Amino acid sequence: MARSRAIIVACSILLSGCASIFEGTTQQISVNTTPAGARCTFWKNGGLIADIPSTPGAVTIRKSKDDLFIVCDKPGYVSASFVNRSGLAMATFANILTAGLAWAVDSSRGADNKYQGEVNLALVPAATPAPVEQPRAAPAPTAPEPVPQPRAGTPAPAQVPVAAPAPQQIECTASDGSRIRVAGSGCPAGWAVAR
Amino acid sequence: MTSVVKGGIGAMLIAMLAWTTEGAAQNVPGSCPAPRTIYTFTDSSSLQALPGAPPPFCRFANLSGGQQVDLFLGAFSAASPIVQANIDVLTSLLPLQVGKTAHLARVGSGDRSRQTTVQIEKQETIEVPVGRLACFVLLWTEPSGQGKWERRWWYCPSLEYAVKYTAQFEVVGAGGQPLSSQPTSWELMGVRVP
Repeated sequence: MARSRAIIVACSILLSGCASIFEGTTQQISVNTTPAGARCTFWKNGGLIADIPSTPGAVTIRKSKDDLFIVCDKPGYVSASFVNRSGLAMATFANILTAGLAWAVDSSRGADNKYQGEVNLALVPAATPAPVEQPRAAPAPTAPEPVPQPRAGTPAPAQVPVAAPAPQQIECTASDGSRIRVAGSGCPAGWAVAR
Repeated sequence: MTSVVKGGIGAMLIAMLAWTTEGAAQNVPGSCPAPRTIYTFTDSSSLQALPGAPPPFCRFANLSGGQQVDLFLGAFSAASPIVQANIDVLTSLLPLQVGKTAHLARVGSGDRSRQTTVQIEKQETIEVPVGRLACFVLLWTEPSGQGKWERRWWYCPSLEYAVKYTAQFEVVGAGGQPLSSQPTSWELMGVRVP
């Protein structure tokens, strides 16, 4: 009660900046990424509360004192996260991977929202194979297919066999006990064909 | 039958002994996969080894995106500012040995409490789609915002590349509960030798 009075007094003095207090218990948060097309998940208190399948997009979440944690992933790019601090205008977002970069952004529109209402994240291209989110119920791994997809244009159909022969698979072992299957002309250097 | 089993166990023990004693020796600066070797990963990306990288880096072409990258231990990019600034510290991890830690100075920050570290966490033989490999686990811990990233590479000296990667962000929420992102990961799915 005393807090409400204090808020009303503060609003009457400042005449602005307190609108969100009277706007209900939910809030829309929009997320933009560069490039677009990232999947973003929203976490609070250890639980997944919302997601945006493909940015740009927006979700409506319940306001609370708890921090909101946003993670955006896009194949070929480094995962980016954003900690939306409840009640604070300042937020930080972190980026991972070999760049080892972390920097703060402050695109907040101020204290009129419980959370920052608009989040902008720049995704950094992955230097190594992109970490992509594994599906929660991943199917059992299928037989490895070590043949990379050809990048060159497909030749004319008349010159292409209907079904290319399967690449030769070789079982190889290393002196440290490692054992792998490879395709190609032989085992990697330092490896021997398994008996 | 018994002798066969004993022989198999013996061979395995010898291999494990060789791994623990020689695994580090296999990893020397400048040791890179043969050019044109192609690694394919579960995230549908592929890398092709190229010649010409300055030690201790190895050069690869990302066949998915076409860009070229020089990597140290299959993990740390020469294009990364923090790697550039700490390459001497990172190479001090060689020869790889469990427990070794590199403390990386962050560009523009003298706050040691927020220091990024790379540690040789352990040796582990893991199963990935391409097979079973003896690897070193490289743990990258990076404070970021209110939390930290933990990224792990399973670097295998026998392949001179990482065959598994995981990343997870952890942050302590307002109520003191730890929040974690869904882990992201990839594994080595195929090897093609030229």
